[in-house]
Amino acid sequence: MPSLRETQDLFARALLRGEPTPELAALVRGPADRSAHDSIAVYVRNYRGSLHRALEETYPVTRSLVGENYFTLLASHYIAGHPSTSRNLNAYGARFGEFLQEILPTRPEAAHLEYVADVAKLEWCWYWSYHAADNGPFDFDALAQVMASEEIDIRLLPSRSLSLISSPYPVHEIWSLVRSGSLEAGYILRRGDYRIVVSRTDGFIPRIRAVSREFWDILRRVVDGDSLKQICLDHSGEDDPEALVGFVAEAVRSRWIAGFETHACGQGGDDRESA
Amino acid sequence: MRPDAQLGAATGDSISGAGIGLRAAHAYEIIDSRPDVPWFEVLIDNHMADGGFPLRSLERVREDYPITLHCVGLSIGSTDPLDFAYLEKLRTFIQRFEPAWVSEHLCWTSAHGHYFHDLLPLPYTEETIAHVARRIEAVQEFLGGQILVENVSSYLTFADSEMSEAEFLSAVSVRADCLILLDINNVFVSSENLGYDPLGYVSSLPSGRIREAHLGGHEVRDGLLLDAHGSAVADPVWDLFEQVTSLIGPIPTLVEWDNDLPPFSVLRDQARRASDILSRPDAEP
Repeated sequence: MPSLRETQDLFARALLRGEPTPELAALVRGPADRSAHDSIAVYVRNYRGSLHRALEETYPVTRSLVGENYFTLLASHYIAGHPSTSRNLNAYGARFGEFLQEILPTRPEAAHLEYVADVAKLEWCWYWSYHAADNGPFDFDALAQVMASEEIDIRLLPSRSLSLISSPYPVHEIWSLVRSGSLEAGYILRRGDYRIVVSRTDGFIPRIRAVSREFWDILRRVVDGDSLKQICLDHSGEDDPEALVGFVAEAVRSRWIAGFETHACGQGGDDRESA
Repeated sequence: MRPDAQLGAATGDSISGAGIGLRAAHAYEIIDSRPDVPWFEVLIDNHMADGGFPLRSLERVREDYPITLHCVGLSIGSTDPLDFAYLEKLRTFIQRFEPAWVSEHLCWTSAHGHYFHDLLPLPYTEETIAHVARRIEAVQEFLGGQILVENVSSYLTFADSEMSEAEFLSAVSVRADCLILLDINNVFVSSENLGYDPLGYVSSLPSGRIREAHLGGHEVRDGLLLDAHGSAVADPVWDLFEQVTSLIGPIPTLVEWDNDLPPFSVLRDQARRASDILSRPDAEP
């Protein structure tokens, strides 16, 4: 008689393998008219079905673009290689976009779907933004005060719901057209250098916005943790944060910036303060 | 710990009648129209965020209604260590939202860091009783009160099981001194699949520990009944609910629906039907 742990190990192995195993079938009995194998298969289907539904809910635009049947095929490949490692089902599917980026170029039937991996990455950012933590109130006056001081360096803190995406495809436009049901068969895919910001602003629904490359690059450096003086030096050759006033005002107004840290110039980060 | 010392007893919230499972798609309507529903059950794992709509909608609903918290993430039957980080978060939510009680399923959902998002079966043995009871005791100790454990649907049995499911559930509840959430649909589904008398199952449980009932829909696939939560409560389940109510008296009852969610009015109609059954004169124990 196997221990409870050994029994659960065998059960887990069958679920992860995606099919009942003889070792587990030897331990269980199905209902009167059903084999052990078929009864275990119910749990295998439930497990994979939960993950499949999670992907469907997170990636409705991707699903629409590739079609129901092809999405099911892609999802089953993803599920086979990506077991759930979080009790939070909302967290499942984080790497689906990267997975599509790897697999689609290898599939001749998907040659026309070159842009879909980036759409999927955008969908994940939108979904994650929806579930992200809230920001506290922003202290505009305090920021204006420290920006006026030459002795204080500032590090802006990005919103917790903020994501940045760049793509050679207008994925924000495709996303919007599919969501509104107005993507037409004759849609012309215009390649370019698209820079996109995803974040919750007012309310609970994330917004997707295309911005200039220059603006996006500054925001990228904010996300990477660079200080305003460092960004200014590289951006304009001066270390005066006033040169970035326009950027800061827009980023704060758009709720992409949640707060800021300060420290005296020429000193380390030990005297850091947050607002 | 006394049987009436369940979590949330100190909040003074008295749960009775037929409640409804809170789902995000219905939250705006509930907040705006404040429907006449006695209480809501919250799938707490869906709301354990640090912000966003799931958390804010829960705050708003809690302003107007008593709630209970229903977990799927404790994996109470797993042989993995208990996740105290998760329990700490749960305790924080309990302190913040003051639910009438907290419930979890008598099953396992994870192993070796993998999560299966399904209610997986346990062998009904002395070893399992001891293991599960120890974990429930640890959870109750940590959270500071009794929890309710729910029977799940079964599609198989283990050859090594030493007792029936009802005997197992009874033994666990007594050994751990916890309470029982009786899912009427799950009793019906398992009794049909595995061939036992559903009312006999219920009558063999320690009735004083049964604090809540669940009603949900099931589907039939290839001759097997599946706990799908994607349809209305089936007529035979309503019949069983009436019999159970006559047997043990009216207890707080929840209508739950997770997949292919209909308009909120459909759930309210189901809850009214449950409420009618609970308030019949013959429902007195």
